[in-house]
Amino acid sequence: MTCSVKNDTDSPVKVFNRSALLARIGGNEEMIPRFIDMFLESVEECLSKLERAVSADDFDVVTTVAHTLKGVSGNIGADRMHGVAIEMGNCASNGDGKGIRSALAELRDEYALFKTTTCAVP
Amino acid sequence: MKDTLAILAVDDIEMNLMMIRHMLDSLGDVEFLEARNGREALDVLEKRHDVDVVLLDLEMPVMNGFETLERIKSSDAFRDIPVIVLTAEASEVTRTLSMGANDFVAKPYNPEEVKMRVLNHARVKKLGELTRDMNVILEAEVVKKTAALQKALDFSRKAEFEISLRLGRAAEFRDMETGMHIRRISELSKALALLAGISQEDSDILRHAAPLHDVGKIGIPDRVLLKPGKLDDPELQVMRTHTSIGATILSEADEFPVITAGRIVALQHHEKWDGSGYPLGLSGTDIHIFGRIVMIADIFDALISERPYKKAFSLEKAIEIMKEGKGKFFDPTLLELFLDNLDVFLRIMDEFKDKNEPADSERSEFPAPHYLNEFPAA
Repeated sequence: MTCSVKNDTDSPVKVFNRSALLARIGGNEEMIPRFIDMFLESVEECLSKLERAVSADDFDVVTTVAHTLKGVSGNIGADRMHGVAIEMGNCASNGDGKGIRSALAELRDEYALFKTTTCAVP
Repeated sequence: MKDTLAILAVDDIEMNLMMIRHMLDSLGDVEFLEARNGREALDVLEKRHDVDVVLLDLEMPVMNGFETLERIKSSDAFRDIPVIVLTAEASEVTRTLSMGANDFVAKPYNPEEVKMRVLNHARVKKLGELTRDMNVILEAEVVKKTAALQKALDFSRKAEFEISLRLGRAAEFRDMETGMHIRRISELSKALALLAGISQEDSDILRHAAPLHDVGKIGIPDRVLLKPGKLDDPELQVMRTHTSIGATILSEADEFPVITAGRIVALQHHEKWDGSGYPLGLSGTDIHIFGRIVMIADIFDALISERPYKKAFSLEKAIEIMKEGKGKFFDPTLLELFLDNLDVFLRIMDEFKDKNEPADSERSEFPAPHYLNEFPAA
């Protein structure tokens, strides 16, 4: 992963809130790529779990995974993904299968955007 | 109390763990322990009894945070370890706090908040440990001080006896008696007290008090105390005041059992069983048993000890004289006990016999004690 990780300063809710992450890791710039790698790994795992749970309409699993996603995206500063994860969690709690599916699609888009933004696409 | 903080973070997401580790790095001397689920966390706690704070995520495989929290808080060994719950859900906060969680940290983490909360709880835990350690130290200190106090008390009792002996000796020094006479009266009285069924403690008090029986002689003028030959009636009256003088010297000391007993002994050791004694003319059991005991010890010692002015009576003669005094001078029951256990008293006489004290020769011109004159046979 050799790319300069940039902040997107244009949108009101950030795809990647770099400064928040930096504060969380004590201003340790060189650690950012490593954290992003770990984040991507977690998200990949979460997404495949979500695919299975959504097809099976297993709302409990969706709730759990959305919860995990909410935690990691919040911590890494993926603010937009964080918002979608919250939305997905709410839908799962309400048993709203349609809402979950739409949130999952949105999550994939945001994830792609995050990867682009952070130049982390392989 | 060790200075290093041992912090156990429990989370199944590697990135979250690493982020916490980075935040806590700036706290200084931190040992960072990790677990990926509740089961692993409990294993770490089993091995490491010095964990200061647990940071606990809730959604984890194998054993989730709720179950882990419940196990920690229901375990005697782990209950006191502060658990800070890591959560992104407000609804989980109340639930985990009611389960015994000590605090919570919201995701996404605010690094200052995480550090403060960890430090606060670690401090509380360490203070708790310090209190427990202090209690152990204090308990040991109490045991030590109690022993020291007991030693001081023993020493104080010894000092009391020693002062009693010296005071008695000061009085006796004015006439013919020796220091060993005082010791013998002391030991003879205790032995007779024990034979009479008096408790060990009270017998010891009598042992310590008996040396004071003649302390009032300090107040008798030399012309009477040291007069050679028989005393006339007025002189005899003066001589007899050594009992009440002794009682006065030893009065108003109710909180000191030895001095109180000394007052009784000083006042009553010339009271006679038939009521013909002095100063009050008490009879029978109106005379305190300490007075009755010391009278027997005092006269027996006077009879069989050698003095500059007299030879010792033979034991047979002394016993004969004692027997004549039964029921007149002496409490018959006590005298019975005394004569039946003569070997006990003779051993004491032997153990504390007079040594060649220089004072004895200096006192050779002193007259015989006047109370011996009151004995018909002596």
